Amino acid sequence: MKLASFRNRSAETRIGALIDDQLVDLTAAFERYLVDECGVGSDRAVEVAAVRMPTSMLDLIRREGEGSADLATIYSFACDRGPERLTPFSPRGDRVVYGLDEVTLLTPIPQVYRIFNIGNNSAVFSRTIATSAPEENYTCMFKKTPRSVVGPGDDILWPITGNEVVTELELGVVIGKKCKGVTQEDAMDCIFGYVVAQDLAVLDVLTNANWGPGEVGLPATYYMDLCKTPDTFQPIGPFLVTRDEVADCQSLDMELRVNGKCTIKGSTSGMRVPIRRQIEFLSADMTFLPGDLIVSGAMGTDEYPPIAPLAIGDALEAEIAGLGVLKNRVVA
Amino acid sequence: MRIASFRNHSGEIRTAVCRGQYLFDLRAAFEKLLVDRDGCDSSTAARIAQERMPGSMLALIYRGAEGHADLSLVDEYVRATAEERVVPSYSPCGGRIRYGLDEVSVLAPVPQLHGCVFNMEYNYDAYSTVHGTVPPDDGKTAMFIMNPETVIGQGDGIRWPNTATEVTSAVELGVIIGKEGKRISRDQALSHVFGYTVVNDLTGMSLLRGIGPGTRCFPKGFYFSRSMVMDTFEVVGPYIALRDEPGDPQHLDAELRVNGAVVSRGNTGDMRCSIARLIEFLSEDITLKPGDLISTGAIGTVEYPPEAPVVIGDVIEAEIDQIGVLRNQVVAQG
Repeated sequence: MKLASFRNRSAETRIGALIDDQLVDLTAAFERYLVDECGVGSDRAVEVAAVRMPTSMLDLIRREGEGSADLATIYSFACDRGPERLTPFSPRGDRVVYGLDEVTLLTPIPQVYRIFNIGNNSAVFSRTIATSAPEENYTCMFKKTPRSVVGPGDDILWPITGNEVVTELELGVVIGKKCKGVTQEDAMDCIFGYVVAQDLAVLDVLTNANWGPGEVGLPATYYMDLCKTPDTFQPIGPFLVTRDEVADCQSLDMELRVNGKCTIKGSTSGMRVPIRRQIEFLSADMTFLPGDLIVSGAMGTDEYPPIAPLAIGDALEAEIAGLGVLKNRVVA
Repeated sequence: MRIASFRNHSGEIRTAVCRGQYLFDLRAAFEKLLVDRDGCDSSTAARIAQERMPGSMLALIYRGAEGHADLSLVDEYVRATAEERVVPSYSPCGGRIRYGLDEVSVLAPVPQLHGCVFNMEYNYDAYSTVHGTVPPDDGKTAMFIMNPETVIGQGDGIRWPNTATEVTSAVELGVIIGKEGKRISRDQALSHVFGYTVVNDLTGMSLLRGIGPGTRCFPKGFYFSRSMVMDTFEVVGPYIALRDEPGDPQHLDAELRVNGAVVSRGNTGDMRCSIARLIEFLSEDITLKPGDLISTGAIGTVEYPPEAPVVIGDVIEAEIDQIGVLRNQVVAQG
């Protein structure tokens, strides 16, 4: 399933699924389903749908297994009928089906507030920036604020803390259940789905820092979170693709185009520490919650390196095979 | 005025003003005030109090200046009744007003927090002197973002981690943001503060040690966030001293005690970057929002250094003058 959050014409935030290139409002469709298929009264259907198919993507993911089961039910109901033959309005009076050009797609989980970025996770990345890699089976993790997350079409704001802005293209992994002490064997069961993610940074916040004399000198890493987390520096979207639709998350091709020109090319097969180990490593002492976002590290090749410089006015298109194309612009 | 969040006997999370050994439920006291002083009938008083004195600290912070004014009203009323020894026990609608501190659980001051927790590090010169690290550049300091769920409150157990063999504890002044802003100047910065609290900041220090020299000094830094976001590793509370309460926030004595022995001691006057500068520095490219917590760095001196090792069973007390004592025990893995 390709899921999205969107703003409808009443400026409400809703959740939808992409079926035959149209967006089906999942809450509205669930109301329809309850009335048409289960014989539930209209008022009751509205009440039940609000709880079982909430308009907040985070609330839906927090329902864990029950939410996924309801999602599967409503998705097959909508697919079986086909968007064209769904009754146009829900009992609450909401439209059930939209053309993609009729709504504004938002970042798939507008309510996301816990974001973990994995750094330095491919051999080509370490070569490109000439740093040593973390130890085997260990990985670098830094955090961003929820205010760094924006969605498709949103502007990326030029920062004032530096002049050298770069972006990286990464696979985003959304956690689907509360978990701690997860083993690699069980890790994939904890995933709800995947998103296209960009990870921007103000590079000169790091490079202008006093790097210190040696082993005990850490100054540049002091500003790691700071340089990564300006508002709007983590575009995510456009779709949240459920786990079942991605056969192998470690073999997805990706590409970043800046003003139409390909600047980054890579594959998730290049990860030094794969996603299942990232989940194990991070959850050893920290509880993951449903809706948590892991951005799993920059991919690239020597020819198309994993870091791309940006300038004001640049139009960005970030694409991962099967997940969609995320478009944003850099503005002053 | 010092305020707190607590769980009442019905299991509800409420806000309270703290006086002496007592907590006064803000909403119940406000109800009583509206009836006694303004002559409201009890149902009107209950409605108004519910609106203006939310049980959620975050909602109260979001009320801004109006919330602050209502807080002052209730504080004044509680003080006056305490002086006259006529403290009422119950609000007109039957809500209990006064609780002994030993009767209820004080929670982390902003239990509803889902915004940002910023941990500033290396913000006292003693840190670099004692630990031999290179200090951050002038006018800057290290910053790491925590998960809101890392935060626990007074009396909660600090869980020993599975992946670290060495854990340190530090007392820090916590700053709670009261007003949204971006690119806030140093001069305006303190007007964005809601209040101050005590933070006990824990780190899985062994993750940062002995990881080899690497090039460009990176490897240890790779695990900074990983060593700090462990469950229960940010203890906050017990109270929020409102902005004007502690007098000069850059002149507060602080102390960290482990099993009663003083291990860290210092004064917030020794910060490398002042609170005003930290707010300016952070807000250059990050929007700060009400309820955000900025922990301003491990306090200490060369004699009583910032950060101290702790082990399972230790009772840690983090105290900052005029704010309170935060007491927690380190417990086994779970």
